[in-house]
Amino acid sequence: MLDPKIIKKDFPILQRLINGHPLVYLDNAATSQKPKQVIKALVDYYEQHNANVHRGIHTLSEEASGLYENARKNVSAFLGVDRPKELVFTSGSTQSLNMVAFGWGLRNLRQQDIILVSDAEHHSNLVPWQVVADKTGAKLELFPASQAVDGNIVPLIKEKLSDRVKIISLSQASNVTGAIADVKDVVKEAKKVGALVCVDGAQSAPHLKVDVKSLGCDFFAVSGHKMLGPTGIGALWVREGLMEQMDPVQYGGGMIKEVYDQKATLADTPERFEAGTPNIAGAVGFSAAIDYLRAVGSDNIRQHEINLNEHALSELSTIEGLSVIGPKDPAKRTGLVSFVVKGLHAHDLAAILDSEGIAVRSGHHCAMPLHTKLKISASTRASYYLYNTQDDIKLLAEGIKKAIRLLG
Amino acid sequence: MDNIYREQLMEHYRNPQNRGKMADAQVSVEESNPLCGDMLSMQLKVRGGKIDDIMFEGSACAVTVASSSLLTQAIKGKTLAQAKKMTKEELLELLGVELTTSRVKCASLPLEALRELIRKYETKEKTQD
Repeated sequence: MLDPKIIKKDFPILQRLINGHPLVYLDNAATSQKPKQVIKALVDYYEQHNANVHRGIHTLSEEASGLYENARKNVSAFLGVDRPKELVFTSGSTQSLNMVAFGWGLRNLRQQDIILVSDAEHHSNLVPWQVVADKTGAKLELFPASQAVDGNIVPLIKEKLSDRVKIISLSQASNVTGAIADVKDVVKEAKKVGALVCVDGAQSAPHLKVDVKSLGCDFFAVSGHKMLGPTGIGALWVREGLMEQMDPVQYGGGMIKEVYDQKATLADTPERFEAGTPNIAGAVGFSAAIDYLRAVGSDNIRQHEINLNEHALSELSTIEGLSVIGPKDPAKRTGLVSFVVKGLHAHDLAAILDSEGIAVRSGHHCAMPLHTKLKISASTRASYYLYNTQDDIKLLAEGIKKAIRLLG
Repeated sequence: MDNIYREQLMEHYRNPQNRGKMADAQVSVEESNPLCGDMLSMQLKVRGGKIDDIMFEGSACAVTVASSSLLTQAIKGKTLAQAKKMTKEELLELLGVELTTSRVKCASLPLEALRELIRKYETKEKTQD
């Protein structure tokens, strides 16, 4: 078991006072806070090793290149990737998913083909596909994950499957409902019709043990900043061989072999997909975050969050007029709970909680189609992580009650 | 409580003016807040170049509701030219609270709706001439 009170000490920002109250940070699904180990890795990189990678002969460039490639190995190992060459560093999940949509989709999709996504996706796993469908003439279809309260989406996907479906792109965990999708079963069904599976792991990799091999998917996208790393760094894992069927979405330095006046030959993978100077410091920080998570242990984090889910679901159920969105079973969701309170707008609730030092998110959480299907305009989301305590949940519940007294 | 939920705002949130639907509106618009997807609808009736009636509806936060109430109250009876001159700063002054950037968007939603209403009304008038 992990002790959040001890872990909290590693996070300098959690010592801050907000509006006179100790910070209760419950917006981890948007971005996590950073431990001093990660901050130190960034400072150390810039103070001791900063140089551009790959092309320099000098000592610092060698060091920076080594750190960057070690980071690739470390992140790969954490995700269950055997060959680090299959991992492309990106700016985050959004860029990773765009790379799949534009890099793979534009080249491989034709008219009559179907792209299948869920209606509960984050906009980053929907809008790129809308554009690619428009450009290729392929059809974008949505399966109604919003209606699967317990997160059981496989039957809904089966209904939509045919040999016209070329790719299924879905999040392993929803950023609104927290529902965890059974990716393994989705892959099993997809294989029957020869469709590829792209997984948005932005909300799962920080909280669950991820092993891309056992998931069996073809693409896996993550964001570093949601898992204790810095902003602006993420990764895309691509199954071996598939990178050859993708075009880079950016061209320039670092991704070429030879360049002539009118044409160029491309570098090997994964460099082919990393044009320009990469986010070296970000990769180093991401790697330090992975070290931290590994030391705590994914299974411990998962158990801690299930406990917090249990606590949150039972505390919130005592509040009149509050309804929770998503699975009732604490083990079927990642570490978050979204809800609506009758007669109380999410923005107002978030503002009153903020006055108590409690940070939550309000709005449609970049999942407008899901909110439309659920017939709500906005919800409030409290999302936790390894440093959150049961006291944080208690303060949240008290804050909501106060908001209801004031505005309800 | 030292925050935005003070008297003036709360009064207009609890008892909003001009909230509801108009049976004989000449034009109506819907504006949405991209932050939360809130929809605000507004309806207008003009007589003799003056705003004869204006109403709003929609499920929105306290800031948007209070702001809509204050705005519609302030411009009722004014000429279209006067209503067009209403600025965001003046509206925020009516609200009488300090807002963060994201909440300013909530407060200015009714102003955007009003401008769109007038634009729509004037286009309609022109095509009828």
